[in-house]
Amino acid sequence: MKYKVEKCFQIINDMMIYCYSLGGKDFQLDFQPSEDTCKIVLKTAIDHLSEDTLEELQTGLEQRRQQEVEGMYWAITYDVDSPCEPTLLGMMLDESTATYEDGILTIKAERNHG
Amino acid sequence: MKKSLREKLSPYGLVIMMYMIFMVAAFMIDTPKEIAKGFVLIVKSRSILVTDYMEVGGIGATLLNAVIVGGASIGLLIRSKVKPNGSTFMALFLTTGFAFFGKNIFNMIPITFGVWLYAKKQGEPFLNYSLVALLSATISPIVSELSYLEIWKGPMNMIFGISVGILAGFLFPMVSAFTVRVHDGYVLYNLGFAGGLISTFLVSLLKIRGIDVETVTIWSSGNNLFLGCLFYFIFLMVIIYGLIKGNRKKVFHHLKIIMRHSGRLVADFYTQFGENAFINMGILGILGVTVVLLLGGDLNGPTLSGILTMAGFGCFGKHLRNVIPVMVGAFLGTIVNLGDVTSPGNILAILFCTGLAPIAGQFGVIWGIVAGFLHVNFTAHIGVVNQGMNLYNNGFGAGFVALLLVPVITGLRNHKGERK
Repeated sequence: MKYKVEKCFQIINDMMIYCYSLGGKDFQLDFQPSEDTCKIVLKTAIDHLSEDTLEELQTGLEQRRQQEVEGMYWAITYDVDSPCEPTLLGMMLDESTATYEDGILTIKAERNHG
Repeated sequence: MKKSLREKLSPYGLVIMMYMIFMVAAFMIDTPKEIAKGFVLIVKSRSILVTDYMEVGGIGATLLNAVIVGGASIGLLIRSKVKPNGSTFMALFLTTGFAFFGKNIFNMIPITFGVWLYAKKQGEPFLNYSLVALLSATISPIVSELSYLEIWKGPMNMIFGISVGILAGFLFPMVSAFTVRVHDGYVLYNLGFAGGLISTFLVSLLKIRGIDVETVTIWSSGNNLFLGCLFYFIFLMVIIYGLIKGNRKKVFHHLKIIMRHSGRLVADFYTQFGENAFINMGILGILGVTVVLLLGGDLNGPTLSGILTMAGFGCFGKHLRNVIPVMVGAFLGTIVNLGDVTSPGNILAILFCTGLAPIAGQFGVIWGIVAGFLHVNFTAHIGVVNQGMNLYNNGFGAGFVALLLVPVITGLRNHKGERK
């Protein structure tokens, strides 16, 4: 697979745009690329995150990875006016979870190369 | 644990149900002998735009062709270990639709093989390109046309047609990956745009050698009663299937969320909402049939292809809120272009303009109407550059409409950077 790690950068970018669209500030990123996988932990402070939005995010991230649509995803540019949806992020990841505690939204994700 | 055949086929129950209805209908309207004879005529046809297989081989043979092409596509998906998602059902409906005018088992194999070769070259599983392989049908006419053009004598023509088809299939994944960047996901028929580019270059190279490809208009009519009843029944069954298999308690809730979506790539309603997305598909199919009948058009191979495509995208981006504005715009465009609204070009543009549905979904009704209006008039002129070698010609046209319109819309808007 070409550009293995670079693809993770795009996912991180879209994750951050999504969090920003929710009112996110004070971003903290922990990104660990390796030969076989990329691990991402993104934390952002959000003053108020509704239960519906959190549930939408969690449900979307639970979607199984779908390699068939990845080609389309890499070519599209998302912005704050039309951010990438959680479902699509979930389709690009092998594992991902979202939690919201004490005003901090934490997204943990893992993507295997291949 | 190895799955049984039934377990492997089970996710495709909706499509298999449709194919069974096709077969019953085929034998209701034609005899086995007529179907067999018609099927041979279909496979041997040039298949270039616009070749209505119902006129070439009859309704029964066309339905058989759709079942064979669809069955082969399902086999390919199972073999590639694809887990069905919205794009899968979209591709199957679209493939089935184009088996009514242009795609058959002969001309689909070389192109699919070309895509497989590309996957091999990349060292990636074919699974990653299964969607592209199914949708590469857009350039199927290349294989048929070059095989039957009689540039040389004997089997060289077929070898040439098959070889060029394999090459086109090999190029397809690369080109289609890039064309999404051009329209940024606002054209659902991305593969049509890519196919149009490939076929345009091919036609220009053929012309250098003095090989001229002539388009045709083979169009059947007079079958509205039978085909109308058949497809209203099919789409009703699609809705019922969705109600039975889906989450009945959340039908309206899910449809409401679907309608709020812009439809921009990648919008996978099946992955998000399961079989409830089939209800959206059925609704769109019924809309398509109704529009053709209300406008006084013909239900035949090409128009049914447009209707099945519209329905297929009901689980991958389209819904009533984003298709109606573009269709209204296209209809207005046919009035202004002084053509008969039921002419082949216009009626197909009204159906296929829904590839621009994300523009209506994202930017609103007015821009959707503008997109549909531009689409019908632009597409009328763009087909000549690839001489009918690209089945998804409306996708090709839609790509250029989006190329012009999306930057204009986003440039005129104030970037709000709004947060929820």
